[in-house]
Amino acid sequence: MPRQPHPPQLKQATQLPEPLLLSPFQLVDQHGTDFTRENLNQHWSLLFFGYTHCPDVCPTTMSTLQKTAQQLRDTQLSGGTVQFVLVSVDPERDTPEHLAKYVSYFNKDFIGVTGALQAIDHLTRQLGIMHAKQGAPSSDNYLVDHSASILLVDPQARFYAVFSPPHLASNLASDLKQLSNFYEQTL
Amino acid sequence: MNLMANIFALAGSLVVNLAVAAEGPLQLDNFWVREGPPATQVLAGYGRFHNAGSDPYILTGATSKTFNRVEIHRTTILADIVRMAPQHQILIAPGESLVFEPNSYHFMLIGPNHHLQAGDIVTLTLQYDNGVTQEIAMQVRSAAESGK
Repeated sequence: MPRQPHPPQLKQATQLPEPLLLSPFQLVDQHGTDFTRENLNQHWSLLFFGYTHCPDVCPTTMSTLQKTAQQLRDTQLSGGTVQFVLVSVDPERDTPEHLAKYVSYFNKDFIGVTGALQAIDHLTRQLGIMHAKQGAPSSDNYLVDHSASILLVDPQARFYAVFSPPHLASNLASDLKQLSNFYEQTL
Repeated sequence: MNLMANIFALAGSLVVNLAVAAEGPLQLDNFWVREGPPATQVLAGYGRFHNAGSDPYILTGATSKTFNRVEIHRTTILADIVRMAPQHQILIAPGESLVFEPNSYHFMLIGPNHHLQAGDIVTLTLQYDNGVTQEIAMQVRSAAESGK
């Protein structure tokens, strides 16, 4: 009888009962290079959905992700290294050039992703992410409501777990280690 | 202590004093602005109010020469949705404290007239409904300090 894997001891994450393979999507990163489902293979990916004109929650979360990256710097995770991806929910203002300045401020290895709104929605719908522009559609000074969670995608491009707020870097790092160990046992 | 060390020590104490307005019934403490990436057009500022007097204070707005516009907002996260909403009147009751902090109340600082870097000081003029205005100096801090 095969040995049952030890369930991960999670501090903050909620693991999906079954990982959910993402369907293909077509976005671009901060260098203008295609960013597709294939970019999620061979890595653990922490995805956060926000926008660069967001002054409060987004930079706070980006700083937490930067601290998470520091805490995982010397850690070997099963399945691949971790990549940190900000997906813009405001593609109208978040051009690749603008995202490049934004994400590299927090960490030179962070990835910023944008694209056509329809393409972004194709990804957000699969992940249960919500976003909605506030205010007059013609104004260029608007706010965007959006989901606060950080999502984890496994090295097979499968939606794997959700980190609900409030986010603590130590919890993210610890849970990611637990989840990658569990992942290895289930391969 | 050499001359340069004296100058730095003096500069440090000035910064501390600028960030605290402890006189009068409404005391302000630990006011700061989060540094943003280059070309950022919207920043956030935070701080702690304490009403040590016997009259209520109602914060109604703020201005700054460093920014085109200052708004007061509150972030709420409800059912995983982040929403920011403008606040037009915020009560600071006698004996009470009110904290502006990440993911909660904040000053939305729109359109800085130059790129602000950690260590810079900006001044905000706070307005209350009783006609009182109050100037507070805010130190720009690295974004790295705001994540947990």
